[in-house]
Amino acid sequence: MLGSVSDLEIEAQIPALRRFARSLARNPDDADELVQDTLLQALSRWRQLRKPGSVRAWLFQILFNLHRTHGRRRQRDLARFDHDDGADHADPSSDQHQALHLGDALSALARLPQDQRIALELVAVQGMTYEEVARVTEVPIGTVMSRLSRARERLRTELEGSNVTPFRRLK
Amino acid sequence: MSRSGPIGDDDIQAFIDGRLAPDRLREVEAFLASEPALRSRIEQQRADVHALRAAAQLRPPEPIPASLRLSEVRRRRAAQTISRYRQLAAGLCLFAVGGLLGAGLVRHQPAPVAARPQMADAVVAFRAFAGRSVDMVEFPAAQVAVMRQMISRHLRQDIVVPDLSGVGLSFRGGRLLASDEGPGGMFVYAGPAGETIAVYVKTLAAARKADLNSRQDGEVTAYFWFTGGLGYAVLGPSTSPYAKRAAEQLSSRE
Repeated sequence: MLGSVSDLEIEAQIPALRRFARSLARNPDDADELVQDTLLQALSRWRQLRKPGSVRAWLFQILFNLHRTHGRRRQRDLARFDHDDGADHADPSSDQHQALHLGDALSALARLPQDQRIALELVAVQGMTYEEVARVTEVPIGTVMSRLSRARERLRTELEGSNVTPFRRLK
Repeated sequence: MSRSGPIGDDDIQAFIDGRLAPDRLREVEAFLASEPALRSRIEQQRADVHALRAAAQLRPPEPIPASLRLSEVRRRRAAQTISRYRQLAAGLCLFAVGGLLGAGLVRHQPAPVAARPQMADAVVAFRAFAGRSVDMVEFPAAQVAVMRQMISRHLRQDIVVPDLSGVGLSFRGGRLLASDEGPGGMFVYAGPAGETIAVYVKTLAAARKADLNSRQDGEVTAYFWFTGGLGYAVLGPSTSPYAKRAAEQLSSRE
């Protein structure tokens, strides 16, 4: 069983976990179910967590693993992405053009290939370190970096609405 | 991020995210000053990152539903555990009846495999083939495709050679083995301090499932779990943290 401090530490991550789950699952209900499964597994695997500072990456890793196992059963539909409605929540006083641009950025993000989208979302939206993303997605850090690079190129291309030649790879 | 040498794409990514150390930042800025086209592309990508973050923050924080409260998750978990114990208890009753009926037959059977410490065969294999030298392998790392083919045929199912580079282990090779329950195999890895870590896999004579567990046997610690038809163990010197890390990564995929 977890002590009360650990409970707080885990609960503090629930909003971020839900956001991540929503970017993976088909709908908000599936997403919350994924979070619930994650918490269940976290409770039973608590002893496997070594570094107390890494609660977030550990929880995200469990969630992403569960998603991949579930994902083989459920056919994920690409078009549905909760962030699509980002612009709807815009502060009415904010610049309309700006709000549109922000909504565009999120729907463009939703159109990226899954691996790239997840890398960019974890870094840019969730503010994770590259090491944490490598841990969550279980790939070497070099892979994270190249996914990020491709994600940003593709996002830019999507936002420009045209096929722009990606900049040459650096030596 | 701290790095030196020629500017790479990873530096550019860290630059966009504002995560370069001050020294490296100056170097990257100097480099970009001579590449105006790249510079403007990167500035746009930087703006995209800010747009993404800002857009995500526009979403009002939703209250957490009661079903996701830890107290609730824990209550459900307890309920599940109780029903599992009930099933187990029912199973034990049947077994007891069967045991009485079969007592005469069982007397002449050899001691069941389970009476030995779990994964004792894995520890023996590790000591014999991996404990002394990392290179006592049948299939060196370069032959990973052949290794996969041979072990899959040996165990009669598709076995993928685990990639543990994410936890810092480099694959050195593998071999086929006979375990005390059937065909098995072992993949050997080298850790950062030169320690040998091995992943052991065997077919199970009687299918069973069990979560990650561990057992120390002298200087060797084995982390093992069972997934139905297969038993896995990750072995390494008890002083190294890598066997545990590898086992956690592999077992969490099941």
